[in-house]
Amino acid sequence: MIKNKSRLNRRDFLKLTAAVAGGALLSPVQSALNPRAFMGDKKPNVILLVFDAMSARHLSLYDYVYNTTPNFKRFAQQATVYHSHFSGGNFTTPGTASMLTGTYPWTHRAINHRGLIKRELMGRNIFNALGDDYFRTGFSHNLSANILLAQFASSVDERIPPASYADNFYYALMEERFRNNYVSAHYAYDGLLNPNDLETLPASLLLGVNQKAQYNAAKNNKNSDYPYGLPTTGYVDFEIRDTLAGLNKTAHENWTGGRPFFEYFHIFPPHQPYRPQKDFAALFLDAQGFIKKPRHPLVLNRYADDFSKEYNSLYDQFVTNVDYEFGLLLDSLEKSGILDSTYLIVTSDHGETFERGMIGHGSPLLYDSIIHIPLMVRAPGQAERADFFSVTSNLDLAPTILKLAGAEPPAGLEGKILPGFGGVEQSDRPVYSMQADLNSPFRPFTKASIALNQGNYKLIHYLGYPESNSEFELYDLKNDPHELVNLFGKLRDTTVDMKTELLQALENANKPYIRSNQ
Amino acid sequence: MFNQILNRLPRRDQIVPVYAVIAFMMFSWMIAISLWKIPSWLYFQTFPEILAILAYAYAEIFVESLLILGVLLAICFLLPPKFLKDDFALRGIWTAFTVIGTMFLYVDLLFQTSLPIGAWLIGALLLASLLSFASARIGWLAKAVLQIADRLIIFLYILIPVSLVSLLTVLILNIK
Repeated sequence: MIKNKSRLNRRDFLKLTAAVAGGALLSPVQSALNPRAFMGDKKPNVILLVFDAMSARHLSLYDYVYNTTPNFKRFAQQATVYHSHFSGGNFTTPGTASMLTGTYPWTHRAINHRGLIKRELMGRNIFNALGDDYFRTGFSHNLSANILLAQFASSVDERIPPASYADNFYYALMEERFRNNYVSAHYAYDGLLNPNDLETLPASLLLGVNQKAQYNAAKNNKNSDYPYGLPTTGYVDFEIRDTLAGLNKTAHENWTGGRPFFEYFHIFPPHQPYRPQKDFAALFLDAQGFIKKPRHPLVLNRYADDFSKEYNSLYDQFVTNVDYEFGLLLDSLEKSGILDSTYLIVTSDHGETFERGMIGHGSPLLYDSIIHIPLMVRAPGQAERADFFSVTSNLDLAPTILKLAGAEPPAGLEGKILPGFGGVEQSDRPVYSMQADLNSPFRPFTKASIALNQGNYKLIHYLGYPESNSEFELYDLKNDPHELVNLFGKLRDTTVDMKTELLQALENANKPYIRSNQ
Repeated sequence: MFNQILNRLPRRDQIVPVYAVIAFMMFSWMIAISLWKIPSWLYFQTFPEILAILAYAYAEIFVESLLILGVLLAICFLLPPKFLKDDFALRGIWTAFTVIGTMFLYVDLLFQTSLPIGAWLIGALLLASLLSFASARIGWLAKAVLQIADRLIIFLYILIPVSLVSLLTVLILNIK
């Protein structure tokens, strides 16, 4: 964020002080995380493992009420853990696009459900920036992320089709047949001819009948290990273990391939539908993680509290199931020695919520449960845990990975290198998240919600939502982590400073899209 | 040999009205759903991108419509002539109409039925046989069906060229 101010104000002074202090404090941590001492001058491999819709608020890694993630905690003992890490968006498209391009949704413009990155910026992504030195692999269960990968196709050496670790002939065939023009083929087939959500009518009767016949058959195929049915993306059923085994196998192949590799794996669980294995299905039934909060007027399908509680428990079970499978993967990677030369990054694209009448993600709400995501990075040979509490964004992954790989970052990155890996911990850094699904990406923002996280505070702005109770909400996340007391207007200085900052950022974002005659 | 094969197939003037019914039903369905989707595409796709999507859709439906016609012709070839070939226009129209109509119902009514696809298909074929049998005995019904099919042929003059251009577009877009 650029401000046109010539003199040093209070906020700038605080930023400067924090930066200097952070830099001084970090030097011992950085030397502890120095992978060069372990790997020499060889370029490191990087595995970016993304669990879809994993809210940091539901992980025992971040002090959740239940022990949902013992294996994440085990991993964290030898990793760098970020405690205030936020996604750029609150659903897959903007969240993933921010992560892979290092830019905010207002720049990359992948803001709609299954939307696309601004065509002029398609080459500005992490795969392209890593260059041919790296062997670059991409996989996503989630079609919204897969379509972004397809936009980056020319820079991805191996794009693994989304149904690869499941038995689905149709999707494998489609990827193979239309590999060179997958983006249009995707919208034609997955959006029109044979939509993967079963509630939308298919324009192709043959494909639609086939899909629904398969769905009916799958309903009758009960699996005794899964009381709610196999985990599914909606278009294909799968097992988490098979998918993570796929990641493991690909990593082994890449590891022996001669070139350093970058592997992006985007796994659907714990995204809904929450379908844990039977060993996890009896856990957390008393729903202590559920906190009753007032209903929000911008939530359209408001669920009753009992229903939300039930889903809250189911989600926690599914998270624990994912953690268990992650533990198995970790054991295997450690045993094979891959992690001696590989950074393993574990994160999510956005969170999940069960509060204020909402279940899931993607509404205009930008509360912590939806945008606060986990981030752990283990450097090759890292033996000790490091923790960072200042605000970071998932935009930071792209510049950080490029720094680790010794690659030149593309111009216009809005993310910063993460503290602990060459970046500086900045206590007053503004970090934004936004939801603008109802806005055209070709026009200025007129209907969107934007959250600004800065220090301990969060300001949420509902733009173009007259039905909302208030246009702004301000929360003190340190003293009110559940975001129940709106301090907007009550903390005068903070209100004015953050509101000015947010509105200035919005104005800058809109500038290129405002026509001169408007 | 070739003539023997041709002799087991219906004449071209019998095939065209059947294909007209198949194409009209399948393309209408696709166009109706596309019209419902286009406003949301306009939101975040450029005009050439939307044309590319429609090219895929037209090409796919064109291939599918030929596939359904192909299945009918294959049945004609395999069964004794009195079952389908002898009055292909009328029987083919009824079969195409009921099978495609059944597909509409099957995809639309999924959540209200648990009938397996096989049961739907057998039901459709029985209904087609019944309608063919009835219309062969009710002169005005047979005439009406054939005349409607005849009038649908005009749509082929639009649908086939558009589909061929679409097919070509899809091929060009996917050339390595």
